Amino acid sequence: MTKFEFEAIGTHWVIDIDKELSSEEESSLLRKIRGRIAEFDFAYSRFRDDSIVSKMSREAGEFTLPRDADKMITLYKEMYDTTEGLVTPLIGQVLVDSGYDANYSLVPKTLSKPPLWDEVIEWKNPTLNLKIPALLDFGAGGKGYLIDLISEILEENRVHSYCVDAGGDMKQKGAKALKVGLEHPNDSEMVIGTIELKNESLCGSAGNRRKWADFHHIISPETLSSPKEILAVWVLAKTTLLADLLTTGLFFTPAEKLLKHFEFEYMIVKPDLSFDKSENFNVELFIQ
Amino acid sequence: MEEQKKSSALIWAVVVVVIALLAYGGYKYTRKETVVTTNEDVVIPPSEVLGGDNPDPDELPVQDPQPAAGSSQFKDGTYTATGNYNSPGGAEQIKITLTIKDDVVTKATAVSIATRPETKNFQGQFVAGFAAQVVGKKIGEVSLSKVSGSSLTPKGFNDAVRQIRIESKA
Repeated sequence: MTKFEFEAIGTHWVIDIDKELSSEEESSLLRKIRGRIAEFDFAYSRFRDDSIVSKMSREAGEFTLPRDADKMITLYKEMYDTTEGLVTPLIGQVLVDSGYDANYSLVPKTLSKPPLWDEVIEWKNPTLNLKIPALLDFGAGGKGYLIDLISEILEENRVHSYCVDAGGDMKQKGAKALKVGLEHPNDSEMVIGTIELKNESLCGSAGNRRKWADFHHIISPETLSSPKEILAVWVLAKTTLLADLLTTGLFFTPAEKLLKHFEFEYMIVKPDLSFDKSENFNVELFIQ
Repeated sequence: MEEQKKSSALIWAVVVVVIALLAYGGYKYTRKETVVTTNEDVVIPPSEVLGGDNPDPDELPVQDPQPAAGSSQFKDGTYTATGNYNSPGGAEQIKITLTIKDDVVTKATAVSIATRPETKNFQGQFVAGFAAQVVGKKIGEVSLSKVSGSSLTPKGFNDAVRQIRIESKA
């Protein structure tokens, strides 16, 4: 049993490995993981000035993205199309103008609608041709994708039973299911139910913690406001990238429509604490 | 055996309430429409309510040979009952399923099996309103490996919020 615990990309990581590793194996594995996270952060973080996305916000042109970018950009585009543009990496500037910027000023300015995908992005793996400077934000799926990438590193190193958890979004693999509590959207000391996670990814999203002015971390590019009809969302899917992107997708687009394009299970909690869930979202709920 | 009786009593109670509501709905409906027939038998004794549809022994959970220490009132498990009642138009049924764990109803569903359009409508409204609300439990009361939710917030964000709070008080 090995446990890695560290802070990175603004969240707390816990990686549990059900295997005896020598201390050399441990430190080599941890080095690879930290290296991959640093690479990811350098490419996609809008919270650092020297990242590729920060450069893109200053100048147009062709940018070569890391070798693993294709899966993420391609799924982002599919999600963009399915949600009619509501899940979009072009939300970056809107988030900054709302106050969710690199300095966390949290003081909203005037917001304006972001441009359309085709006006800005042309993707030919591994090159992103940026037609006009734009601040891209990969917050809706980036962390999930990074969890998948780290899981790949573990499997390349013959680790097949593990859990990679980044601040409550996680991927589990192995014979023994993991019992995961779903945090109460109004009280972080409570859970509303439990789920048995096995060989799947679970991502959650709720507006209760990252909240300022009249916003939370999800802002609609159409209405330029944060959706209020949903308190919290959880998604189970085969990849963490998909689960993560869908948590944002469900804030904007009905589950029925998303289910036509993607395979997943979900649960949505509304402000009156009633809920909607798919039949196979296998949760034990504490309800009345 | 005692617990089993209690469990049955619980689901009977729920079924009776459901039927009372539905029958009342039907009663109101008939009054509104000034249909002559009214339904006097709003509440039906449990034995009759369940009629031949007593919870099937097969649907009762496998009994835990070692019941949890303490004073558990009901056996954990999923219970289903079908309630019969007389609507203004004639006999109708509704199916209720409850899941009980540690004396807490963790899941409750109602399935409409009405035959008449008006009853379907009433039962549909009832089933929609039957959607339960989450209440939650303290994390310490549940044995968990992990918690998933709003994602732990970046430290910088929390610091900024704290800062704003201090400034707004100044």
